Amino acid sequence: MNSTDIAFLSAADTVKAVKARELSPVDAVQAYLERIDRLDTRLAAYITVVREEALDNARVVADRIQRGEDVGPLAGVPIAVKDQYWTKGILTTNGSKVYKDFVPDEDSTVIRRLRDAGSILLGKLNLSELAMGGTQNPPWGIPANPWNFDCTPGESSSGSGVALAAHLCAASMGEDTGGSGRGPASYCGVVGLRPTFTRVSRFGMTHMCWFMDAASPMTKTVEDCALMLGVIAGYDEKDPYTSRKPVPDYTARMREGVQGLRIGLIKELHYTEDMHPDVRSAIEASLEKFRELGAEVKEVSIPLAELAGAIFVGVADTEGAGARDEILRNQPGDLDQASRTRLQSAALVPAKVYNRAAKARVLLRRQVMEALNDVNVLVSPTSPYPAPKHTDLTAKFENAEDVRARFFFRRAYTGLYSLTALPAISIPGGFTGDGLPIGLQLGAAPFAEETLFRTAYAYEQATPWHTRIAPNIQDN
Amino acid sequence: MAVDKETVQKLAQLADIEIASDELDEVTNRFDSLMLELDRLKELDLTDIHPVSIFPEDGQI
Repeated sequence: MNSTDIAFLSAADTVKAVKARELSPVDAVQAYLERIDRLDTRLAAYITVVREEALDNARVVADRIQRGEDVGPLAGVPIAVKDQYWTKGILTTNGSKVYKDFVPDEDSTVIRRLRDAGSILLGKLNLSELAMGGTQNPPWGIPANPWNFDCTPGESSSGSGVALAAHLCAASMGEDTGGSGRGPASYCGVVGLRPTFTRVSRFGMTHMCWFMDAASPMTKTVEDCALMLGVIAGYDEKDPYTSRKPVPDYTARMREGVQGLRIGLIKELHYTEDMHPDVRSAIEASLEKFRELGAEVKEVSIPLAELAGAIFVGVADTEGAGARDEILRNQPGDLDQASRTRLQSAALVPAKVYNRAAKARVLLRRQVMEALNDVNVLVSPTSPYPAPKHTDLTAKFENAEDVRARFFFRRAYTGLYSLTALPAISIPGGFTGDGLPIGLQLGAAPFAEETLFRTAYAYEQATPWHTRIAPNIQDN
Repeated sequence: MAVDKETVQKLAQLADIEIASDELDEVTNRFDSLMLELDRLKELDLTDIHPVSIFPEDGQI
């Protein structure tokens, strides 16, 4: 295998090749480091590359494999993680000048589990400031979408989406508060999962909104995502809110197909005037594909879904503004203009309005659970439109209607699952006429990740979308 | 409800937050839009609902 072939492998195929001693972990790491050197100046996916540490760890893994040891389910997989996860001795910026010197003295639980599983950390990835989104001037560069450099890769796990689409790592960890993992997955044509809220420890993950933040495996394939979740899920005494439910082998039932499953299109997130026509067509084509594959497809109603974006901002931004009070009062100049004005506006929300949004969140959960009594899997686009241009995303808001159209509308699609603590996955669901990826979002009941992987895998294997290579990195 | 810049300034003072004069329009637009969107929740019957931070794993609420 040449270095490009190595870098284009999925994580699962990398593990197979490493365990079969057909691929050295050192060669795998070097293949990615070479691509990072060549491509990342333009892409700005990475904030920190830990070159020597990665090569040293690759040699350790290689030695262990030579000795016949079982290195773990991610043996020799070069990974990169959003710079929101604490990494012992490695700069962790949270995408903000406020944290430009923050070097944690311990790993987050997710990082520790990924290391214990045999993966090799290549570095820390760019993100929107404080994992929020809309950052106008990211201190470590503006991440470019490999499918179109003028477009955003999404927010806030932007670097994770870019690194996967450009094959600058084999697998990644994003974080998803309101869609920060699924959104970039959608815009970059990769896979992003928001697990059930209590499924994965949040210890050592800088918070945006502590009761909605979720670790988000982001990968090239559905199988890789199932593999990653299996490694990071499970109870953690450092995060007492994590579930004690046993962690299944998420790949075990992945190939069972969708025969007999009931799949429901969320009406309120489909029949909207503002949806891009190519996105609408892609979703309707996906429903037809699910029918062909043997699923029963129907429409379901979640009346509050269209307001999920506003409820999300009312709860999460207000909570986030409270948590950032010290920064807002003492270091506002260190924040990007977009983060500063977003947090400032959220800090002004009256208590009774916040309380109403918090109650509406509970009502929304009831409505979603009712829909899930009728179907196994919910379907919508991850975003009602493809990746916007950087300039459209970061332009100042002209008036309140402009805020509604550009800020609240798309957040309803991903915010729905964040608010209700339910699992959802974004997978490649097609392309626009302009060649931009479209994300297909699937949601399910609490702890029904196996059903999500089963459905997502069936669709992935029946469609060609995950095999396309972004044109801007195609010859590299 | 349309929120004006003066109201935003007063709220910011109460919250001990300093808003730069050249960003007051942006904050006002964001806050106005948020309040307008959340105003739509007034139509919901939320009388028997209590907010929770974390939902029970299996039970309904």
